[in-house]
Amino acid sequence: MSGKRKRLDPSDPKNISNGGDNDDDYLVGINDEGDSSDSEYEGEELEEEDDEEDIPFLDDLLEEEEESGEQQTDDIKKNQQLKPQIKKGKHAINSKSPHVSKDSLLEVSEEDVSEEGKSESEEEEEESDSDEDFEDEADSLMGDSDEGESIEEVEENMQRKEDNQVKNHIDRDSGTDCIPAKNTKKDTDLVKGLSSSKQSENFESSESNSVEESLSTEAPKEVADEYEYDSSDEEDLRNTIGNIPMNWYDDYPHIGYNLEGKPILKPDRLDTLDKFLNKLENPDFRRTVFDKQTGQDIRLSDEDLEIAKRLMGRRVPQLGYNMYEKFEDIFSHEVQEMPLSGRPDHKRSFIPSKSEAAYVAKRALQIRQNKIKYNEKKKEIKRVFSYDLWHDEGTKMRGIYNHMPAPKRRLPGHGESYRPPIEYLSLDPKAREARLFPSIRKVPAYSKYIQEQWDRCLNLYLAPRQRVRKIQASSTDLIPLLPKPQDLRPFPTQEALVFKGHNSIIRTISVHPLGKYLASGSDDRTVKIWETSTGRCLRSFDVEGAVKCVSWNPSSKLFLLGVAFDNNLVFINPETYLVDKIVVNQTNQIFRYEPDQGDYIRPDRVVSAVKWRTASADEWAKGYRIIVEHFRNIKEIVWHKQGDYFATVVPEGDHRSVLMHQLSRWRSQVPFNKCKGRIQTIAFHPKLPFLYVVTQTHVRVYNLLKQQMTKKVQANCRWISSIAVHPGGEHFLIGGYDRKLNWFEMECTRRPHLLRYHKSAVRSVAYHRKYPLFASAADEGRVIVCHGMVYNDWVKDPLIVPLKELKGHRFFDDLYVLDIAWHPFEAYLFTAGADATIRLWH
Amino acid sequence: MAASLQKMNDAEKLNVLVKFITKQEQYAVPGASVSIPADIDGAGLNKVIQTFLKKSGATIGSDFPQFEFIVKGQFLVGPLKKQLDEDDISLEKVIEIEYLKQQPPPTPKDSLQHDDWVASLQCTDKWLLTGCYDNTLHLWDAEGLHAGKGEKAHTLTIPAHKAPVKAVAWVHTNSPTKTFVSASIDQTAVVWVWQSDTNTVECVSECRGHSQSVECIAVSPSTKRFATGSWDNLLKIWSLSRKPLPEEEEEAADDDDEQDRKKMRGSTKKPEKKTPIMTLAGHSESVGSAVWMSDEEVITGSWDHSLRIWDLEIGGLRQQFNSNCAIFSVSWSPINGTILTSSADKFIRLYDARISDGSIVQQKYVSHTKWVPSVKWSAVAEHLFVSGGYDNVIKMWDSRRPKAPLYDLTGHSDKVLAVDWSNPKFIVSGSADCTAKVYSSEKDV
Repeated sequence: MSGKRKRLDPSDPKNISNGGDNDDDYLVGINDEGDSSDSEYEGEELEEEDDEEDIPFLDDLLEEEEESGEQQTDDIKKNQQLKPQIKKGKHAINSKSPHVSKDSLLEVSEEDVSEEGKSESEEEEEESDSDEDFEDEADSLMGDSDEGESIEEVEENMQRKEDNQVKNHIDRDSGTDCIPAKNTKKDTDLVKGLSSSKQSENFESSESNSVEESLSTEAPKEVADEYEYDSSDEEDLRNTIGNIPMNWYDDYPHIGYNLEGKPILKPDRLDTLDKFLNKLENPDFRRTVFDKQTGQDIRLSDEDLEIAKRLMGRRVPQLGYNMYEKFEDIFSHEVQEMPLSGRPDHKRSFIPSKSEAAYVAKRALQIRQNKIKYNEKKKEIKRVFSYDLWHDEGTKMRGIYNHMPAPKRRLPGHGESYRPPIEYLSLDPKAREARLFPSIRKVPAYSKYIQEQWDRCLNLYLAPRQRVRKIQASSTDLIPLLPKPQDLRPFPTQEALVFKGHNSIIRTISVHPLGKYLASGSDDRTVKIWETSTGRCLRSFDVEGAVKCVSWNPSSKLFLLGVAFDNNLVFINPETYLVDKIVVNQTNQIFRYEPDQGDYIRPDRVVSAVKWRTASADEWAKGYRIIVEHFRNIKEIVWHKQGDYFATVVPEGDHRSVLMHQLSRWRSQVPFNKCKGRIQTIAFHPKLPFLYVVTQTHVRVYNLLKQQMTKKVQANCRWISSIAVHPGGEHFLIGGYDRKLNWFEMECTRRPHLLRYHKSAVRSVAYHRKYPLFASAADEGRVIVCHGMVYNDWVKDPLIVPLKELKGHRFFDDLYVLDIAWHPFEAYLFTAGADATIRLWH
Repeated sequence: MAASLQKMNDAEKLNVLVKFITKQEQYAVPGASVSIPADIDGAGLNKVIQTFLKKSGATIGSDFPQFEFIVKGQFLVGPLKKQLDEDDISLEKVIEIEYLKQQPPPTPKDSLQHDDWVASLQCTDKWLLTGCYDNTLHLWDAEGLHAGKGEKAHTLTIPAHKAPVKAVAWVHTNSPTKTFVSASIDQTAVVWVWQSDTNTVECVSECRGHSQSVECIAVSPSTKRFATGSWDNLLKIWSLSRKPLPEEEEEAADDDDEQDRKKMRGSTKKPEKKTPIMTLAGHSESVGSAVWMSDEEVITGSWDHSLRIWDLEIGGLRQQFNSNCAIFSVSWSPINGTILTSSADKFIRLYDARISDGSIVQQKYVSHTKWVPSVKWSAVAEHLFVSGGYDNVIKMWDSRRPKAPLYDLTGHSDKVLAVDWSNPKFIVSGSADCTAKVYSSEKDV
């Protein structure tokens, strides 16, 4: 922007006054100006505009002089549109024409300056008011200005301005005060102020300055070094008050301070009449603008006007600038026909490459072999560019996983130091002395060193180190998860009653189906009947031999107890008031006489084996009703559930070991012709017409209706002692003298549930009729009660939970409990002991 | 109070504020609350009470009564704090402790030797009736028992039944002509009239109808009817009013029995044969025990684990409670209206049939070690009852003290089959050791 300064209007009085005296001063002033204009160009564009707008404004003024100030301001705002162009123009101008001639500057007379001060303060006041108005309405009116019109008007205005300038010059001649050199511009303002109307105040001072200056047409004669004065970065420091509202100076005669600290006096403001006159008379009035900052009027030169005109015409502000110069394309993009190099192509550029062919063939092969897979994300192998220098292949020993490194050796502590701290020393003064050395040279070699190294080596070499996973198992882990016994109540847990009365081993007991009475047979040749609830012996029968078996008739219509001793089977009617009198009498009547046999002829086999007879009078009085004499000793009597049929076991009877009898008709039969071994025991199926015949090692199940064997079960046992059939009929339990207890399912007899909890021969087993309980008695002195739940689901195994071992009997002759029986509906267990007592467990 | 609070701050000796109350006016103490150590037991509390009474001028002699203490309806057994903790009672509030004079221990008075097990017995003001397993009934002079006369008190032996006698009960005892009933395994119940002045007994009527052993017998409060329960699962109600029936036909089957009985009695008069007024079927197992609640209500306990209340007006079941084991004995107290049952486990249970919701089992008395065949409320005391068990012990209980009995009455050497406390003076028991034992019990309420 330095150029502007130099292009100052030669007619400007301040330039003249200054320039003559001192070049330096002048330069300073110029610099100041340039700075200010520059800064305002950047920061306050609006003000700049105001300056440029002077042309249309002046135009309007000419046409509508009488109009109010408001309208005029409107026009000014229209002109603000020009602002961007003007800005550009400034640049252009600055770069193009930095000519300022000192001569022209000198043209301004000193006298002009003096006039400015007078009217300065007045102008300022009005200026500040109107400024705000303009800014308010500026935007709304922007689009109204007409280009062509304005240009014409500008031309007219230019002439008038020139006229005004002339007037100014005249006025200046009558100037009064001398103003310092740098404030010379104020003179112009002063001149303007004299000649122009209020509207001139609307221009921002600094902006107007810069425009004015740029528009000044006079070319300098001397071309100064433009860089030397380049003050484009500097501020306009003609007025040093800074960026403060100018109205603060309204009450002062000055308008700020120049660089030297002297007040810049406001130019004399003309009154309205003078302004009007000035407007009429001053030919330069129309090209005079007001510098707000310095409060002076500035006359625009022709060159400025020309630039403004070009800007308004939206042309390049520079006069001689050719926008459409011919373009010279230095580096061509076109392909030239002739290459730069004339060398022919190499041979390999047209001979197919072997390596490429090989590669293609390889890829083709891979494709054919389907080795190439597309759309497959390659696993990114993170390459770590490191090399484990110390990696030792040998550390991973063959077959040793989870290798455990040898423990590190303990580092020597303070105690091993050659001069140990005193707390590490022995209390024994001798040992203490031996441990203290005056210097390290006196420390002897470590005596155990070799030994320790050797031990260490041995340790590393020989001690096998492997991380062995220790099995965290306790002995209870192998026990199947069974419900708690408490949850399986009721079951017998303790002794409730002791039935005392027998004098010898009780071999057999039988509970009456109603549960009130218990019959027992003993070696003391008595059969006793007990009251279960009190343990009272109600009846006792003497028989002629050691009782092997007693068994109540299960029928509710008969009150009959089968007693087996020696080779006799006796049916006793206890005949007390134990059951309904009618039943007792009925029983007596049935057995008083032999039933009519009709045409039936007994087979010889049967006749030789069995003999039925009624009781004699004596025997009748004893309670005997029928006596069935067998050919050998009887071991057992088993009733069919209906109470009419029963079977007896004669162990030494060979093929006649099992005999079937019918009570009502006094008939017997020998069902088996062959002896399959010594018969241990027999049992009836509770629901079906099946007979379980138990030999020492086998259980044979016979269908009595079809008279054939349906199943033969290997009992997994060397010598069976007893059998119990589950009331459901699908399971049976076998106890053996070899301590085993086997739970069989009829459908799957190959794999019995083996219960091994007995330590000695199992004597007797029994199922409860109602509860899922079973019990077994063994010679080791325990009766074990188990929960044996059977499910309707055939696949599901029975749930067998040992519940309780019952102890209480005493041993007699290594025998403990010989028979057990369950109460028919309560969870009570009766045990017949060798100690001549029967115990009830509840 | 301030001092007691200070004591409470002492952490080592935890104190509680208690207030003593009593219903026995002669032993009343001031009603102010006092602070006592929390771990005090019955003996300590006794001392506290005695101190109070001394202050109020009572003379404390050696015969000064000991007291029992009741905390929140429970007898104090052991340290106070333990009981408070168990019952979850706050130690910070004032605890009301009721105390009462300790029940004096029953003293054994006599042992009556029988020929066989004594299955049942009942004592009235003056006379004791026992039923024996040797088919006989025995009458004893209660006055003589009190004097400890023993065998001399034996008044009469009645060869009453053909089978062990299971139950006996008095009907009328006021006039010289006394009436009682007996039941036996021989499936009959017999009504007897005994002229106490002439000491002659007469079989008034024979009740046939049960098809199995008659286990229990109970006379209604109005003494017009009695009930029998039997092993045939039936409860039968019989009338006691004697109305001359037309001449019955002699059943051939009964001939022998009748003649036997006549012989035994030495009486020529033919007993009246009775049929039950009502038969109540419902139990699935034998009826072990029956008691009357009122003239129209009978409670039965059965071996089928149920306790049933029968309404005789409608002739059917009114309420049923199931337990988990066979019930041997039932006792109902007209004083407090609750039912005690003893059963085929070791426990005595207290039922309140009037409670409709929640558990009707109010208490469980645990001390017997074997089955308990009999239990009996005291005739006069609200909270006392006795029980006899197969563990040979008779126990006297306070119903507020379920964890321990008041007294254990030992002496029997075999199973105790029956106990009775109908006469407030005597606790009598029959046992399998062929004796009936008499204990005198003083009860001052």
